[in-house]
Amino acid sequence: MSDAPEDSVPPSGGMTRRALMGGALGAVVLVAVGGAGRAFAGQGQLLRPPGAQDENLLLGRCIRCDRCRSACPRGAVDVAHVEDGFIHARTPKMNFRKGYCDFCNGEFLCARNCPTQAISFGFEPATAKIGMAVVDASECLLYRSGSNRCSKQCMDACAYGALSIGSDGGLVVDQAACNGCGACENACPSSSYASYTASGRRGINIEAWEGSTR
Amino acid sequence: MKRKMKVSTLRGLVALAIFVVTGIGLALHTGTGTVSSMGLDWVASICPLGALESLLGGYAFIPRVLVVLAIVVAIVLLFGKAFCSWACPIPHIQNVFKTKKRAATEDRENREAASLAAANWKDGVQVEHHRVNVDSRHVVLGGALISTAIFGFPVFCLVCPVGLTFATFILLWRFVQFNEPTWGLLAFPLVIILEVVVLRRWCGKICPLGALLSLASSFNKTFHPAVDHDKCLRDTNGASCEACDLACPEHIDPYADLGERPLSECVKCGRCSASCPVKAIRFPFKRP
Repeated sequence: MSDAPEDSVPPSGGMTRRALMGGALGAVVLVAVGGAGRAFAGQGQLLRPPGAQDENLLLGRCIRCDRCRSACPRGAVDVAHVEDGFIHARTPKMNFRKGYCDFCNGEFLCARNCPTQAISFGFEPATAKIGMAVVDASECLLYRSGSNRCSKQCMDACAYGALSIGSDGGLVVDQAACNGCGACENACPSSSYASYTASGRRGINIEAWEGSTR
Repeated sequence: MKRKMKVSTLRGLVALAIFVVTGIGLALHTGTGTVSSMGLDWVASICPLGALESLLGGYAFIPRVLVVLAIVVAIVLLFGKAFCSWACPIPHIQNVFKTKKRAATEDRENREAASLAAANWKDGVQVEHHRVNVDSRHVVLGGALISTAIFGFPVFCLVCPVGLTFATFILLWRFVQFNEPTWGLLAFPLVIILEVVVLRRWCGKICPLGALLSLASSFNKTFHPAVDHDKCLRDTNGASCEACDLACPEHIDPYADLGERPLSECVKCGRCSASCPVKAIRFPFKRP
């Protein structure tokens, strides 16, 4: 009647030795995946959405569901790739080339849509920082070709009065006022169209800031 | 036959609809998300395994996760493992890559499971399924949770074929929209293929999400396939009909739970009902 091999007919409900061994193999692989994820985390800190500055908390809770990225009305939340380290793949990172963070006027839609509170509420734009604006003298048009060649869109874009022109005619960032919202990088005309230099950088870029981890 | 087309088509459409909703979220920035968590604002579903992992990985109780997790458990109590056949993209991916040899192997396994269930019925063997069915999947689940606790991040999410299917969809979308190539476009499909095509028995033997669902599904009492014993050929003329057993992809016996695997593993696919020659299995709205 039944020509099934013995091992395909386990005592129902109970676990056969074979099932236990097979499952244990899978479990060991997952422990290895966890270790490899940590071991090959990649260098450099990623810019995270406001409220996700605690890197351990973000990595611990993020289930890579894509909702924060999808919810961002300005398209400033981007998704990290395997190139950023396998452990970071599909986690949110900020990309100010496509948009900048206006903190949704206090709504924080990324945090509101996060199902695991990996992005937490309570980011205070006046004191907390996503990152820090850093001027790249080799790209900034004020340095490259004289102030008359740039209409300083970055200064107009900054809502926090963090940018000014220094005595040498170059850009100066007020680190206390800058919260890394990315409006300056988003507005910077350098490395685009006529001023493109293939460096991939703009005249002002938001970079990871030590103090941004609170 | 007509009904079979209807149920399987419906299942395909539901699975497809989740991708459409994901696409709408991508296009309109609605924050709808993927099957890992889908919803609007704070009203959302969440992958129960992801939720557990984020509790363990974040070393903290997250009130929002607990609330959403409770809702998901309630849904599983009501609908059992319906996710597996109605929402999960993996069976569809497996179908695309199914070779003739694989199909023949599955067919043989189905026939073996069916004849086992039929023999149990004929010999009057009472199969005592454990209250909670535990197998290799649950060991994998344990490994996923332990690894998450050790390394402090949701480890299984990293390699979850369901999550990676949606991730690949998003990467393809962004590749078209922003011309943004990444190794993920190759790496994610490779992981998926390795897990669910090379390891053909992923769903039944490995999937820790299925393991978690089956734990909650052990207490599911609704939407079970219900055999009408006034119609069933086994009851009416003692025929050794195996149609429903043969049709069941989970190796369950819809007739009297005499199969290789218990009724709690039912994925509510409706194949048994569709295959019954005398339409004796009412599904999903009646119970015995």
